[in-house]
Amino acid sequence: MATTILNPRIQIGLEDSHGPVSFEPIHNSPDHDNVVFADATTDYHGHPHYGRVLVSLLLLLGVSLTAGYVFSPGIAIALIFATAAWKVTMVVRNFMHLKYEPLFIYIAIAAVFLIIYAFFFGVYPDITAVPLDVTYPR
Amino acid sequence: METKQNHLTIPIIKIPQGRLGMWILIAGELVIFGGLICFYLLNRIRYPHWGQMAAHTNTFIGALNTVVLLLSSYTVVRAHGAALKMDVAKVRLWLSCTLLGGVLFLVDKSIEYAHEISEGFTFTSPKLVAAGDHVGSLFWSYYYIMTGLHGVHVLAGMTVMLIIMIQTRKGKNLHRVELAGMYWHMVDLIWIFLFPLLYIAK
Amino acid sequence: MTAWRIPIIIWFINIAAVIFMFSVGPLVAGAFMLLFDNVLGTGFYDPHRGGDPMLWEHLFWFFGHPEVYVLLLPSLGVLAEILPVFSRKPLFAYKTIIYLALASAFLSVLVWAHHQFVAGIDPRMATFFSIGTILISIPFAGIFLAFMATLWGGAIRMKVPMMWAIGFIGLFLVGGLTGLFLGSNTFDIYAHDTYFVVAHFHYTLFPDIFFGFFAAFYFWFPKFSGKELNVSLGKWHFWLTFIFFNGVFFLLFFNGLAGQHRRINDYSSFSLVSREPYQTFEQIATVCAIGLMLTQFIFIFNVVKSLRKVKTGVKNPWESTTLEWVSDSPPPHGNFNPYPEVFRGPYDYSLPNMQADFAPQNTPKA
Repeated sequence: MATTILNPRIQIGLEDSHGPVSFEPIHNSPDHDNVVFADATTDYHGHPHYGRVLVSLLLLLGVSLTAGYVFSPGIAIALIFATAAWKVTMVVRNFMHLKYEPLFIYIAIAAVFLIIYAFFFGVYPDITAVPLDVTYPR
Repeated sequence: METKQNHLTIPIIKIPQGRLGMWILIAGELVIFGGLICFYLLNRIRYPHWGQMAAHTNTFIGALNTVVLLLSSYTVVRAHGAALKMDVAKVRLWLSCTLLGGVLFLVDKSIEYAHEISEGFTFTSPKLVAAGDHVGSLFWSYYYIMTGLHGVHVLAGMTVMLIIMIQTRKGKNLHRVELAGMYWHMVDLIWIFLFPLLYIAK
Repeated sequence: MTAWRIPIIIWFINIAAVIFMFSVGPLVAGAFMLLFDNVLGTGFYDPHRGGDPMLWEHLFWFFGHPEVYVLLLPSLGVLAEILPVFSRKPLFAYKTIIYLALASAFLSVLVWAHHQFVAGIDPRMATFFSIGTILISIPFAGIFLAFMATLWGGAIRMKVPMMWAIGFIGLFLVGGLTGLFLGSNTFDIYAHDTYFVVAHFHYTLFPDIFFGFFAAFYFWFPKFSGKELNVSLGKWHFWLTFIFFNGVFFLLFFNGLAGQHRRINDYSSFSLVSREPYQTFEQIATVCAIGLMLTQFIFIFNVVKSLRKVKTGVKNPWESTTLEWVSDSPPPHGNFNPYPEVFRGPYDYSLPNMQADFAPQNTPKA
């Protein structure tokens, strides 16, 4: 280990992985980027089966495209937005690996959506609930 | 993937620094588009006339763009898997596929814009305004600002991926592939929300 | 070093950064829409084109309110660093302060329309925002109580940074309490756009930005420059700023309550405010404002004079426990030589069975 730290140009392959390595920080190193990938498997998260996720996403897209022709308008709209929400959830959880991240990241992203909902409902009466002849006199 | 400082900060923040920064950036961008989408929705509910205007958008091209972006999200996550195994050739292959997807998206979008502009539906739609259809012209303003801002983000994501492809050609800094991929997923996410709002709900 | 051993200022700066990132989005969107309205002729905010000017107000204040907490939290963090050092006591309720800051961050994005109570929003929504605004005073009150509990019973060392910190607490209390009045939508109908609001936000912002900045500057100046600021000039600077600031803004509360509006050029037709004593209050405020401005030259003179002194390089003049005082003054490239290892929390002052009255974070436990 010590020789590889002193000679950072050697890349360590998978056979040398021992888990997260604690090494001395390299002071005054002219080439900060040339640090070994001491352990390529410490990605800190697992991964789902991406192909299956892709197929589900495409199927959901198909559902949302055909919903308008099969169902009544109200149900179709609800279905379309529900599938959009579900697609978003799948992309964020699987492709972005949110499923495997620590809890506070989850909370941060959930908070973003809560903020957007709060904004929507805070502004709703001022924009949407105003009768048209009040705001847009012809 | 470890970089120099990660072993010091990971006990505190539990994930690599680059990823934390990326999540915060993504959250910020989501709020930008969230605000725009909120206002679009609010106005859409207020003006049923917008349903007629939305009928002029091309659902086929929109659906094609959705498929293209979903596939490109898949290819970029495969690039991340290849980066984990430090397989530089595969990383370049998958990232190139993703870039191709981005180019396809922009080409489709340009065709669609050209068609809509030729029909007179522009950012300010002077023809509609002259005809007295102010509310309709507002729809097109929202349409262009939302899809335009999204297109700018697609371009930015592609630029970043190109830069990272160049930076990692010798196998250094492969952890950055995942970060570029996360940004691309965010772009895809926003499109998944935009697509039903602008194209399907008519 | 673990997450719960970081000095609180780092937590607060991080929370402020996250609040900012989460709230600036709608303003960016709204600003683009305003730009296009003005330059290209779109109709996002134009009622004749189907838009709505209320949209702009909502977008602006959705960012504008979290923004003031973005401004506030780093200064509160500075306070949280300074108070334990100069009262020789650990910070009271470290984890609770962090939870309160997180709670206030979450609440801060739900209260924006209290800037729009008289702008034409739906009065039923105004009730929700009023409740939220009054609720959000609770976490901040909690943080301030924790600060006061830190001071309670401590061996106070009244150095210049400490004076700024205590001044901050006293003045911010006035600002915060008057904010409660303004948070109620019924009172705000009377007080909106008057000098009451002006006095309120100056009593919060001026301590926040100026007292917090000066506290931080006087506190960390020995570290980043290796030299010491003159103490008596610092004390003159503090007291004159404190007195002049109050002279400017305290009397304006009364002017506001008498109905003096903001942004009016000539008050001679406002019979209630263009007479005594309100005109005298205005004149006192003007004189004190000029005095406040001139006082800052004392600070500039102090800084220039001290920077020209010979470097003494004292590492830890305030006898603080946090890691920045372990490095040299000013810190070299890489900050630390050698890299310290952390054994303790950040505020180990005056604990039982200690030799000195403080134990820096990198000293091992016995």
